[in-house]
Amino acid sequence: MRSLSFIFLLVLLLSDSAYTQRWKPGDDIFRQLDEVLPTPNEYRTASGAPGHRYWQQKVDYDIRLDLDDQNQSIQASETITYHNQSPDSLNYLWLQLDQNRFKQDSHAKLTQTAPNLKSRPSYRLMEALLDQDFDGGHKIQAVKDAAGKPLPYVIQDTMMRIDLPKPLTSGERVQFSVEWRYNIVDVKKIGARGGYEFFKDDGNYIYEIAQWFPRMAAYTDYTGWQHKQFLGAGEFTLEFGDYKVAITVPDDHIVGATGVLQNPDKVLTATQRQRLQQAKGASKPVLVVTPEEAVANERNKPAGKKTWIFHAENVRDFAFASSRKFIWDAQEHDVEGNKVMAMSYYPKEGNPLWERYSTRSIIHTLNVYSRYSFRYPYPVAISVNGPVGGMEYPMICFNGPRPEKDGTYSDRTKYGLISVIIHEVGHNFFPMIVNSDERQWTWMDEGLNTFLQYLSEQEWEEKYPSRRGEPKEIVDYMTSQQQEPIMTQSDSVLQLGPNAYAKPATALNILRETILGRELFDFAFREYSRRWMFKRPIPADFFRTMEDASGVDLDWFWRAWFYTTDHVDISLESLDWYTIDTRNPDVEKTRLKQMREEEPVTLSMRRNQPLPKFVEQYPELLDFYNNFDKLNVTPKDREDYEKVLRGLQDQEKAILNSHSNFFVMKFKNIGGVPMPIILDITFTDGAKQQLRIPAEIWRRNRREVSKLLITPREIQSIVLDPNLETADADLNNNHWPPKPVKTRFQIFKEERQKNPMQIQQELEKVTQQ
Amino acid sequence: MSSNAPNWNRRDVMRALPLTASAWAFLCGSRAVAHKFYFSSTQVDYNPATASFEITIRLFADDLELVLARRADRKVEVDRTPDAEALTFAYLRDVLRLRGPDMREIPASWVGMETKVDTVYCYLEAPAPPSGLRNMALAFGLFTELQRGQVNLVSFRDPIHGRPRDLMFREGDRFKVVIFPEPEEAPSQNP
Repeated sequence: MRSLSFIFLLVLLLSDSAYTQRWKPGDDIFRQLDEVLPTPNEYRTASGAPGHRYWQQKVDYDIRLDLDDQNQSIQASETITYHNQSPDSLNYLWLQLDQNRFKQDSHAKLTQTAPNLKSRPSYRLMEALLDQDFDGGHKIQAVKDAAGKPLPYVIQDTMMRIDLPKPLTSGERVQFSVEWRYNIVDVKKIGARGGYEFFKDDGNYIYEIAQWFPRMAAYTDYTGWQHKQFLGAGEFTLEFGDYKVAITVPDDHIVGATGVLQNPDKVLTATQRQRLQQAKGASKPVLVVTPEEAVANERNKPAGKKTWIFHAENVRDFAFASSRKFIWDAQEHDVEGNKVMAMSYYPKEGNPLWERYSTRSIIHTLNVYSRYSFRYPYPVAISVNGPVGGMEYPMICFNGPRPEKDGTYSDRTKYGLISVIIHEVGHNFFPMIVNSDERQWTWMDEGLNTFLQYLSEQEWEEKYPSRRGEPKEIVDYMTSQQQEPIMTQSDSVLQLGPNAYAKPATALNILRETILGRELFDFAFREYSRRWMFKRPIPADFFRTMEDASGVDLDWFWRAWFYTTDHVDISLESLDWYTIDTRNPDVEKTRLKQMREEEPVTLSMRRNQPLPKFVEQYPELLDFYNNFDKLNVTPKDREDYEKVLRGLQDQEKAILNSHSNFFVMKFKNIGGVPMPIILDITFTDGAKQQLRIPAEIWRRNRREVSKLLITPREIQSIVLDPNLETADADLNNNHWPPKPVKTRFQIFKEERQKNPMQIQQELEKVTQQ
Repeated sequence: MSSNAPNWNRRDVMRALPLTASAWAFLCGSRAVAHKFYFSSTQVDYNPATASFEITIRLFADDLELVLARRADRKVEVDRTPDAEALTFAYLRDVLRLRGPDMREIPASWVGMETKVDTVYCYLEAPAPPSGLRNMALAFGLFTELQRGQVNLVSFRDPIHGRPRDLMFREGDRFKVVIFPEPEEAPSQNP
């Protein structure tokens, strides 16, 4: 250091941007997360894995139900076997009665705020408002112990507590039964995750039945009983167990359900069974019920009833669909060695889209998701078309998009269908198998699932129009001010779509592409999925596993993206250029002369130049100073330089003559989220260089940093975030030399098709109508 | 719609539903691509060079089609119906209203729209006073007649006066004034 102390750095170009620094609460973004995350224990380790004493409850169900197609209701009974695998004694059990959300006095209904009646309401809204008579909710008819003796119970909105005669100690199990009935919701009238749709053209119904039986609430090591009321947005979390469900429906109905059909001989025709056999090893979907047969069924009247029996192992819920309108296709697919029957059920109204895309979309989803997480473990995967726009259950999901009546469809409908099937089938992985708690943390399944949905879409076809995943798409939301952090409880999130789906999905995509790279990320993400399949992770388990398996401290990333509402906006503030003073007068004075010559001539100087000068008239007035140029090299200069050189080591002389350019780039973090600084640098000789600086450059100063680049070349231009990979919100401050970036509005305005007069003429026509 | 229009009473509301039974059927089915949340985002940029507000509204196509079909009493597809642009402009003129510092409404003119699969971008422009976004007020009731829970977020850029706070509009909201943060909480880009 001592030998360098005499080196003078000459500032050739300097645009300093001094500004005052104020400490702000988020400035310690690199503070470790440990104080925020729960303390590791024997159930959940500091590495993010299940601990050596990890436990979860197990619940088995034996359910019988009768679907009444005349008045759209369900009469049912269930025997629940509850295995207390926790270390705790339980005095009571909590069950969820999700149908109670549709009671007229439910918390969900009572806490609805008034709609806007100042503008014209829709029929849909008016129908929902005027529907004061629908008798929704679970009617509990009996709760009995294994011996048939009534058990006391209390209903609290969407929850039911059953009081046990004696505490259920650790390791014990208890069996009890519940009988109930309920009226099925008309989904087209009341937005719901399950219910019926009536087709007035043929007088038939499609039933998509979900959240329909009293289900054991989750009991966990981190929250005890999960008894958050069902308000509509926070979906659910449940316990794994085995299900046997006997579904009695009109004998001309086709039923698709979670699990494997146990009595095909009783409910399917010989032809249908044979076609299902053909679907094994088929290279494309095989019709089990053809469109023609489905249309014939629509005109049928049932002769009686049939009972379809399904068995499902290690699932956390059970849903089914039933209708005489169903076309049914199937294709067995080998998912990494697991033979899965992919099946779709849809009415003729779904064609031609459904026969072309549904089952194929299921297969594509199973392939891609299995690659990124774990092999799909279940024997079937089903997609059903009905009134529900998109909702997931184990092995079965409901998807809404249909073509127009004339059989045509827009690209929006087509990609909407493929995307929603990928999304809902993808939910088998998160949260149906990696059992995160959606009533508490929507992002844990919706965010992770939307991320994998994006990867799957991009593997469906080139330039698939994914709505979420690309960093630039999240900028609008992240720069908005009225938002909550991702780590917010499900029902309290204002904008669930951007908050719990798009932002975490984008964050993971950035983590994969920009922060960790695909290799590290994919390994860590797979590790998380495998650690927690058939178990129940909390956010800390995800954060910790991703760090543990990638070997990268990501606390700053989780803090910025999941715990704050800051956005990304890094600006390239200035570029300063330094060279080394060689001390050689022949070099330095020549350079200074050149600079002097390049200085601009002012207007007055130029006009004064031709004026006759007084000293020209009287040359005797000229003296030493009239001819003296301090930039002329003198023998004394050269002598001094020689003296300097004599005092230097060879190494030091080499440094003086290295001809390096020192460029200092200054950056400001305007948005608050620290991100890697990615630079495309172009030099005057045409060479290009990409510089990727990890986000840790911000660790000592979150708001302003500088970076030195030493190069023999001269910089011509710099672009910050050239590949749009960081969700940088303002691209106007990403260039040197500064370059304004056109807004979407300005680009559109330049390229628009119609001129304002055409629009005005059309508008007049519309207004007259 | 002028600003002194009376508030509708319930009878007016019922009269304002001009649909026939047949129209109801396709409206019911037209909500093909469902999304679980109802959200739009709007960017209002003050451009001092052209003395105008440049407005970009990003919304869901199926919401727009539903509302336009109801107003026009016929089926509307944003990418196929010939007068979809004019219908959209007529609707946006009703639900997006700008009020200048002098309390007068500033009418926006139509620039155009483009559809990207399920997202529609609508572009409008309005003359801006020299004070930019200062003391401007906005009302934006987009789709609040369709959905309880519709959230319309409006962000602003004003290169002269700094960045105002976002405005969020939900059902029942009326005019809101654009607010600039106090100097002590000014964002760091304006040292």
